[in-house]
Amino acid sequence: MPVRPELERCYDEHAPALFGFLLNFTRNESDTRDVLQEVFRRLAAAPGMLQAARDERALLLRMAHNAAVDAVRRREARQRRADAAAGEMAGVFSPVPEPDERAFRDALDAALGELPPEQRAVVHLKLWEGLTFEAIAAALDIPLNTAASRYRYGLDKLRHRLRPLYDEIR
Amino acid sequence: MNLDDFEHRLGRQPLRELPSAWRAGVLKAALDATDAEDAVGRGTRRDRVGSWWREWLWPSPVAWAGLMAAWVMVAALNFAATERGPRPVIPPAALGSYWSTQQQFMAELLRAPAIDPADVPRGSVRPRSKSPGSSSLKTHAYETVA
Repeated sequence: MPVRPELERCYDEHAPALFGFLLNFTRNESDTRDVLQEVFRRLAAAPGMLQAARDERALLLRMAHNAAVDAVRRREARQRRADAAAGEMAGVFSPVPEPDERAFRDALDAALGELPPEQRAVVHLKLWEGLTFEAIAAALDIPLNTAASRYRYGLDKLRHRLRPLYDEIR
Repeated sequence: MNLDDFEHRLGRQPLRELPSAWRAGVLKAALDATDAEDAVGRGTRRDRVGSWWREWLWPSPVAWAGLMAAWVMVAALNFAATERGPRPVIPPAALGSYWSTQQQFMAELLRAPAIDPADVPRGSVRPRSKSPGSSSLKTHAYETVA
């Protein structure tokens, strides 16, 4: 099977979701692009991997998550060595002109950034990908109970962080 | 605050879109990397063969080294045994007289009746005697033939 058409199909179908997940997880646009590139490089090197997968999205999310974990660790190590500030924190959400909505999105963006990466990953896959806990557990290679508990803790932190603004603009 | 409402509110926030300019770069980088790996793979068939040997031999280098040492020892002992001198060669024609000589010698020692060489079937190989004087008999035979 020719590699290029299959790779292009896979990119068009899944890359937008991967981009959103990676951007929320890494909080860094440069790392997001590097990881996305790495995922597709691995797919190009092993085209049979997609054919053998029962759920392409779950496979790609798992690959993306694993690569993103490595990328975040490398960046944190570089930042520790350079004693630099957080730097290029990327906005996760689309810009919006309406001020109340913009304020809420900015606050949500910041609150998500304060979550531990593993809680943030589960929250993202639950709220923005609409995955079940079973699918999340499979994608992230974690137990089902762990997926559920990370979501609960993450959502509780977001609710606590955003309650005043949410009640105000509701 | 209703948790479900809050979750719905969060989930409705639209994520940033994937930059369209990334598509060409990501796909090109992925395919270029695969082409480069294929080129390297074709040029390292010898490395693959070498790596196969290494995978087969390397997991237990101590065992392989011990086996090699044992073979070296066996070869050394074998070589040392042959160093004592050339192996005496008994001409086939002399074998018959050799065996008859041995029989007569043994008969004298054991005070047994002598055996007529004509009674001994041609080509028969008598079992090696375990009598105390057998080794000296061999020496005697070598000396006789040589």
